[in-house]
Amino acid sequence: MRWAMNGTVNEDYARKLRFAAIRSNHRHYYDHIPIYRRLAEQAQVPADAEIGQIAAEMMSTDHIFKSYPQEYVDSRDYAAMNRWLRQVYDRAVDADVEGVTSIDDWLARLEANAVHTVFSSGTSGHISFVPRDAYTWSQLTRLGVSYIPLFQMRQGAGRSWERAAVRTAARMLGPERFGEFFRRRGLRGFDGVFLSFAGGTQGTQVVGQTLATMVGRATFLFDLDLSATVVRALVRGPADEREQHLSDAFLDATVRRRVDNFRRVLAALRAAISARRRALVFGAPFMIKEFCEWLVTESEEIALRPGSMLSHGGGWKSFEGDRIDEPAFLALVEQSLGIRPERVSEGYSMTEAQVVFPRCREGRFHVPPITETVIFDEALEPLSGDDVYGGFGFLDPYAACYPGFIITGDNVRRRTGDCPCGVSGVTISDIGRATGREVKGCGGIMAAMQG
Amino acid sequence: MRTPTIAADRDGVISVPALVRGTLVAPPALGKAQIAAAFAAADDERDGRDPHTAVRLNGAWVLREPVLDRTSMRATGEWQYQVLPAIMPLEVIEDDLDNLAAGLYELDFADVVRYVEGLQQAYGADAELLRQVMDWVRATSEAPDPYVDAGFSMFPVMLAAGVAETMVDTDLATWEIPGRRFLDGWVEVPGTVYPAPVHMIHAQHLPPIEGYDAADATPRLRAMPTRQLHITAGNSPLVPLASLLRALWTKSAATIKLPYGATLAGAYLALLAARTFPDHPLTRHLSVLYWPGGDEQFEAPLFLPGRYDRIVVWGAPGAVLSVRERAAFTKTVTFNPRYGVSLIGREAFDHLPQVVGRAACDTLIQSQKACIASQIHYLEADQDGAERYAAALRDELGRWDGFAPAALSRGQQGQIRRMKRGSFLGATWFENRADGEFHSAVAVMPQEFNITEHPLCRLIVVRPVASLEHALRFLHPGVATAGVFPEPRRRELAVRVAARGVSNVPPLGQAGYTYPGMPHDGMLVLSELVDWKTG
Repeated sequence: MRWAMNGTVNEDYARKLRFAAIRSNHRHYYDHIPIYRRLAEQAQVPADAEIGQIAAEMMSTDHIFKSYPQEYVDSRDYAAMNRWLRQVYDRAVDADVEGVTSIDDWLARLEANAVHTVFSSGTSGHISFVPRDAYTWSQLTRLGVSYIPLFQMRQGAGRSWERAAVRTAARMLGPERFGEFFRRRGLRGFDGVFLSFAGGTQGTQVVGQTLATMVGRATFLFDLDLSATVVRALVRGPADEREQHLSDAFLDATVRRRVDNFRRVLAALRAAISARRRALVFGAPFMIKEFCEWLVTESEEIALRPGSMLSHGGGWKSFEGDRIDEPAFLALVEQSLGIRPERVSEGYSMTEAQVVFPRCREGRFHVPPITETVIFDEALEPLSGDDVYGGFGFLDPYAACYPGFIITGDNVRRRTGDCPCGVSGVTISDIGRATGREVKGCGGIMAAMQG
Repeated sequence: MRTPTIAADRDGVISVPALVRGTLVAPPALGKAQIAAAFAAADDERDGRDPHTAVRLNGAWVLREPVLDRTSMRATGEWQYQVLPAIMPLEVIEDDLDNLAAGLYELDFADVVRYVEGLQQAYGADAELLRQVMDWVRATSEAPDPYVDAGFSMFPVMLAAGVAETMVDTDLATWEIPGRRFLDGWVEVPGTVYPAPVHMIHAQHLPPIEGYDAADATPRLRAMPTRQLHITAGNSPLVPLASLLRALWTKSAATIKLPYGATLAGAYLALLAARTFPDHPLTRHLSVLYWPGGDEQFEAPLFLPGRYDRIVVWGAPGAVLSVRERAAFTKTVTFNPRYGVSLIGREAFDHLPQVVGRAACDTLIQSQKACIASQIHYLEADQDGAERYAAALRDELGRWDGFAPAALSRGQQGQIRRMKRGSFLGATWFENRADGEFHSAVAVMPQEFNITEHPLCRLIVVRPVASLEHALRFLHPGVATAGVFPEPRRRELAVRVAARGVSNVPPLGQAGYTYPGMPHDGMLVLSELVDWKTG
């Protein structure tokens, strides 16, 4: 929080805390997470390993969260899925699977059993599942609030009195109480329009749903759950009539009623303007672009109230061909919604991470000091240096119940030091998908939805 | 003026001429320091991303390949530079169709046979040049030396007259008439001609056309040569040769793109053609050159409708897809990325050394880079049996590592590490390591995995299955070859395997066998490269 507020941090102290947390997590994973223990034994890494050894040997690819045989899902053997999930979780998975016939049912049973499971689909339809206990889940939905608003305000977001008020609140309250304060008060003056799904535990959707609890009034582009069963059926083909029906209903609500949905969220935005309320627009960039282009095409451009904001995340993914460069994107947003470029923010994260890396006005994503990053060369050996490019990995101390030492499928440029935006520390930029890695996340799902 | 040739300057920079419609074009002379500076500048721009493999410099393409220590097969840190002329795309396009019709297309097939025979005789006549080329290829090839040597030894075999004759006579045969006759002219075939409904209507309503007998019709066929663009892959030096020969055998005008990693062998053949038959129509309508694959500026004019009659693409999924999209109006023949598998029955345990030896041969075709090389062994066994088989296979791979050590790039090493820390975390690994370095491995994998993760390098995945029938569900058109053991099981399963899209179902150990007239990827390829005309 202090880092986000002041732009600087005592890195030695932060590193000490970070390393201690990572070593503690390593020990915990080693003792309680079977797949991690297997990796440790394979790599001959002890329970009391040092940070260097953990970074070099104990980081795993995100594939471990989809390492279940597809036949378990195909044959609806959710007892087997429970046993598999136990491999990547730090405790028994006892959810009752009696009568469970779909992934959605299974996720609901897990949820009822306090296993909050976030899913992400790749372009192959092989879904990742990341289980979280109540504590880790609460951190996922709360942690960002303790630093992202402060970071964004440092970048110029908010009115001057709001910036002052928030800084004062942060100083007085400390991270947790500040987070609570911001959740209750910070965005109440905004009406939220979420170009995402109202329900479902897919990564980016969870961010939208969390923000939706904080705004005055929330409107979703898709007023339904993003169903994991449907996502899989869309990519791999429906397995039975029920899935066919679900897929049809889903496509009807999303693709076929696209214009109706656009009109509905446009009405919500107009209502915010009429009520003289600011708006927060959130979504993946390809969806924002599509909506903004529709506004322009229909000559329905609007000017949201001054101070309105747009936040996006998830990247372009399968819509890489539709990507427009940053200036064009910002110009389109300003033309169609009247949101000034300095009020557009972006976050970088992934399903397996607890933290979001906010982007600064210099186009760099800032890594909060709570996260340790590792850049790998092509031989998967860690690179050192203040300005390096390679495969991106991170060790997330807040991943308490699943292995949070992750090698992602992205290549990034990592720089250490003072960013011209005024915030010091580690930044990443120039993010690209590593060769041969499957496109994951919302983009992969949405591509399957394109009529 | 000296005839261009393949030669190195005193710093080892290799000058590689291009053949452009029969004319050898030498690249400009470029010094090593100038080249190194150009690559350094290009790499600087990439901020640490993968180093460039090619730069354009003073009207040339300069390729940079890492020199490998032939014992350890690891990069020495030295580079081999090849300078090739940058040709303009319109220079290779054949747009004088009347000239082709009157010249090249009217050649007798016998001339083609004499041509390839001439190349065969000329091959190695300049022993010093051939030795030099082989040395340069060996210096950088990811294929172990025995593979490089074996590849070059196949050149004269493939250039044999008998191969040309058998290929054409079988691939282009129809009506039991040998293919060369269709290539040489119009051939009457014993078909029954059916009049069209219009003739019946005419006969019903109008008097016969004076001086014309509508029933007097003779079916005639001809296999017309074409203008072919071959975009070859670098997974084998034999690929450019195969493309070149297919163009020659079909009397076709051809542009052959040399791939990064296999330029020298193809350039040597082009040199041979230009030196041996400088004025021959086959040479005058042949271009063999390099450009970076996917280079829009070069390729867009080539992909325009009417520029070529056939585009032949070998290569990675992205390359094949990209060409298909961009050349939508030209008939494209693709050799899609495929892979091989082995189906091994439980009888294997009665003959384990033999089975392991045969399975390794099927795997190590072109050092595991060939699309028919077996990457996955489906074994009828439980986990213990699979591990016993894997241990024996690991030992066999270790023997191959001894006399034919594989080059394992840093990227491939990284990929194997990724697999061990992700998708293959549940696998049981049997590795050959020396001095802490990975050389080869067998992984017993209890569940399905994504084949695109496979590094295609000294890694065999063993998948235990309850029965070979269970393995059938893993077969699809992406599988080129499935070698089966034992023979009774092969005969029992062959049709079911083939029905799933697999092209070759040989006995285990014979996946690499080839013979003139053998289909490739389920196609009689020469038949795809000619245009079948009726007249």
